[in-house]
Amino acid sequence: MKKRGVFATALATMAMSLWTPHGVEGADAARKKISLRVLYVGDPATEREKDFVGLLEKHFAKVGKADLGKVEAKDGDGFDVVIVDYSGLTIKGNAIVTPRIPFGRDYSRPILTIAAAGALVCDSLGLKTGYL
Amino acid sequence: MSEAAQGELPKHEVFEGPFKVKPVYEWWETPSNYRGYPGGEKLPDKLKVWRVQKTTDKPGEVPEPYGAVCRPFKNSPEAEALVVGYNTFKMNGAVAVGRHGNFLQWGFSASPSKMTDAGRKFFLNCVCYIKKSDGKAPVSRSKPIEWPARWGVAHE
Repeated sequence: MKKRGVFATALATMAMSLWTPHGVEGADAARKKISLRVLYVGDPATEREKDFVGLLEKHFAKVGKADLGKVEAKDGDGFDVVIVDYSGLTIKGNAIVTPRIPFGRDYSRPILTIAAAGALVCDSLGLKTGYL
Repeated sequence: MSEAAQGELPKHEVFEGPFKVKPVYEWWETPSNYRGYPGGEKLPDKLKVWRVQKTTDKPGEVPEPYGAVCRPFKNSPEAEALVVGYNTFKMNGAVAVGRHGNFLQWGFSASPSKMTDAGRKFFLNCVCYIKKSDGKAPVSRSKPIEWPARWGVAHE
């Protein structure tokens, strides 16, 4: 009886270690963290930020976060990849309002931009991945 | 853009690791807007797609926040299209996820909890993949789109 209890506890522990809400599934979920340092730049204290940072923390060795409204290019120092996210486009008057992005033409570190705002940023930098 | 990538996965390391991307394919109606572009009349009635995210059950729905595609472009050492997006407003072949130099543009809009398993794995692989472009700022640049006055772009 005691043995069965120990076995059940071990099984439950193993199942919990594989359970990753919004992580990847199966054997991939149990792998060691990837040795990359990732900075997520987005809208602070939002569900979206929590969701992205949660996924990244499950899989990468170091994850930082920064406020898109205040971030500076130097904030990317100490990280391997910067992710720039923006949950939505705002229209004010006759203009699409995009975030002020400090990662300009001279920025050569790895950067991942997301969705429509990301495409507008790429467009402003003359990239092929700019908004169509 | 919708919630799906269009076509089968090309052979590319970004789909192989660290996480193996295994899309679940579906067949969706060919968007009528594709017909208006060159070659559009020759497209089949349905196209093979795979969902990267799922915020709605409706095929082809354009969810908020909005995603984006960019103009189709030829791959080169400094720029590559990784997946094409299924979209109901733009041209066939428009790129949903692509890289130019050290910038990787992820055109889908949902946060991870709304991504499919294949979508999450692809996203994580993209984070790893762009690391390889450290120090490789784009050499070629195009002129930014001249937005019509009524759709100017302002910055916060």
